[in-house]
Amino acid sequence: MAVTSSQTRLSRAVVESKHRSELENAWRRFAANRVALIGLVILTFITFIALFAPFVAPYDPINDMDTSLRGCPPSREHPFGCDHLGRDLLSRVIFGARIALIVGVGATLISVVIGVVIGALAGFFGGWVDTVLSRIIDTLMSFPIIALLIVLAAVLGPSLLTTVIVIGVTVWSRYARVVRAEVLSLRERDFIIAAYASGVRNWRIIWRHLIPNVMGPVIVLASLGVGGIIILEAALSFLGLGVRPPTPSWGAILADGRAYILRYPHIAFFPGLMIVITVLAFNFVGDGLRDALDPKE
Amino acid sequence: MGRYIAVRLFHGVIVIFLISLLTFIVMRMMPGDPVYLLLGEGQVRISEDQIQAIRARWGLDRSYPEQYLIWVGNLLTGNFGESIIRTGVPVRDMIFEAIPVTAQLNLYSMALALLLSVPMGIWAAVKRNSIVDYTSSVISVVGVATPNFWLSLMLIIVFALMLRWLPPFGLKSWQGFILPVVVLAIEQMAVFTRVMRSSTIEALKQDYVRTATAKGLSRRAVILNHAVRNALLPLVTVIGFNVAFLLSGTIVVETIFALPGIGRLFTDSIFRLDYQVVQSLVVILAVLVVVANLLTDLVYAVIDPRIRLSR
Repeated sequence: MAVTSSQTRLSRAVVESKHRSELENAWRRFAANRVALIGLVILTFITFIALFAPFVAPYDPINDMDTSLRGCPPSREHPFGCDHLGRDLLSRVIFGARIALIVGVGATLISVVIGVVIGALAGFFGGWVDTVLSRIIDTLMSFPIIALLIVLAAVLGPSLLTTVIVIGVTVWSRYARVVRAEVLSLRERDFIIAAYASGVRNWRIIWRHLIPNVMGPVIVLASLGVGGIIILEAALSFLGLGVRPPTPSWGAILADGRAYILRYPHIAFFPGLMIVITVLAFNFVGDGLRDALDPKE
Repeated sequence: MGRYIAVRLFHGVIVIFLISLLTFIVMRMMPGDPVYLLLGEGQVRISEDQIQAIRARWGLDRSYPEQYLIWVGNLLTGNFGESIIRTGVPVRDMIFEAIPVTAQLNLYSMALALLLSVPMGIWAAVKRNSIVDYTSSVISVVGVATPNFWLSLMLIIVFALMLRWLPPFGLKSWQGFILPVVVLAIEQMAVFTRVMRSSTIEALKQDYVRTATAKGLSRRAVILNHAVRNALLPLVTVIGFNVAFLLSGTIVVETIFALPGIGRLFTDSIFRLDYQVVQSLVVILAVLVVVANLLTDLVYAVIDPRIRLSR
C-alpha cells in the first residue's frame, strides 16, 4: 500500500515536472515572438486602465457635464475633446475599456463553457446525440450572428448583463466544433480505452480525461475570439441594443459620434481607434499562443 | 454522389425547420404588441371590438401553434403574408423592393475585393517577405480588427464632410454606393488576401508545380496555370460560407448609410414588431445559406477531381 502510494506520488511528480517544462517551453516560444509580446503589453496596459479607471480618468465619465464645452475639439485639458453633452471623451473612453473587457472576457467564458460541454457530449456519445447537436452547431455557424444578436437583445432588453449573456449563448459553436473533433480522435486513444476498461464512469472520463486534453486549442481559439466579441458588443451598443447610455461603452460613444457627425465629427475617432488597438492586441496574443502551444505549424 | 446530396438536403431542411420554429417563438417573446404599435399607443381611442377585428385580420387571435402552421403553410405555397405595420402591403413586395440594393452592395463589394485581393495574395505568396507581402499582411491584420461601422464613419467624415466628394448618406445617385461598397470590400479583402496568400504558398510546394517547372515551363506559366488554379479552391469555400455573413455586414452598413436594403428592412421590422417580415426574411436567409453551403461543396467537387473521385 505504502509502496503504491509513493509510486503514484513519484509518477505524479514526474508528470508535473514535465508539464511545467512544457509550459516553460511554450512561454519561451511566446516570448520570442515580438508581435505577440507587444500585444501582451498593450493588453496589460488596457487592463490596468480599466481596473483603475476612476484613478486614471481625469473626469467623471457620466456626471462631469460642462454645457459650455459641448463638442469641444481636442485640447490640453481634454485630449480627446468633449462629446455633445460636454463630457470629457478621454474619461469616457477609459471607462469604456471596462465594458469592452467585461463583455469580451465574460461572453468568451460563457461560450467556452457551453461549447466545450456540447462538443464533448457530441463527440463522446456519438449516434443521435451527435446528429442533433451537430445540426444545432451547423445552424448557429451558418447563421449571421449579428441578426440573431439583434433579435435576442431586443427580446431581453438592452443592458450590460444581457449583452454578455446574449453574445455568450450565440458564439459557442466554433468551440463545440473543435472540441467535438478533438474528442472524436481522443476517444480511440489507449488511455481512454484503459479508463473504460477499469470501469471509470462516462462523466468522469469526460471531465478528467477528455476535457483537460482539449483545452489547448480551446484556449487559442478563445484568445482569438475575444477581439471579435468586442467588435460585436460595440456593434450592438452602436445600434442601441447593447450597453445603455449613459454608461460609456465604445460602441455607444460611436453612436453619439454618428448622431452628431455633422457638428462634432471628432467624437467618433478615438473610441473606434481604441477598439482597433484592443482587437489587434488580442489577435496578436492569440496568434502567439497558437504558435507557442502548437509548434508543428 | 446522389445519396450524398440527398442527405445534405435533408439536413438542410431540418436546419430550416429549426430556424423557422426558433424565429417564430422568439418573435412572440418580444415585449410589446404590434396592434398597439400600429394604432399609436394611447393616441387614438379605439374600441375593444375594433382591436379584435384587427387581430382577426392578421390571425393574431388564434393560438400560437395555429399561427405557426398557417404561416408555414403559406410559406410553402410562396405566400409571405402581409406586413402588419405597413397595413396590407405584401411582405413579398417589401422584400423585392429591398433586394436590389443589398444585392448590388454585395456584388460590387465582392467583385472589388476579389479584384484586389487575388493578385495581391498571389504576389505576396510568390515574393514572400517583400514589401507587397508586408503590406498585404498589414491590410489583412488591421482589416480584421477594424469594425465596419467605425470605418464607415471615418470615410464619411473624410470623403463626404471634409473633401465633399461623395454624399454622406442615402442613394439619391450612384455615388451613394461608393462608400458602403468600399467599406464592405475592405472587410472582405482582409480575409480573401490572407486565404489567397496561404493557399498559393501551399500550392507552390506541391509536386505538380515541381513537375511543371521541370518540364521547362516559364515561372509565370507555372504560377498562373498550375499553382493559382489550385490555390483558388480554398477561396471558393470562403466565399461560399461568406453568404451567411453578407447580411451581417449589410445590416450595419445599410443602417449607417441609410440605404433601403434588406439589412435595414430587417432591423426596422424588428423594432416595429412586424412579425411577418422578420420571420420571412429569416427563413429566406436560412434557405439561402443552406443552398449556398451545398453549392460550395458541389463546386468544390467540380473544381477538384481528387474530391470527386474519392466520393
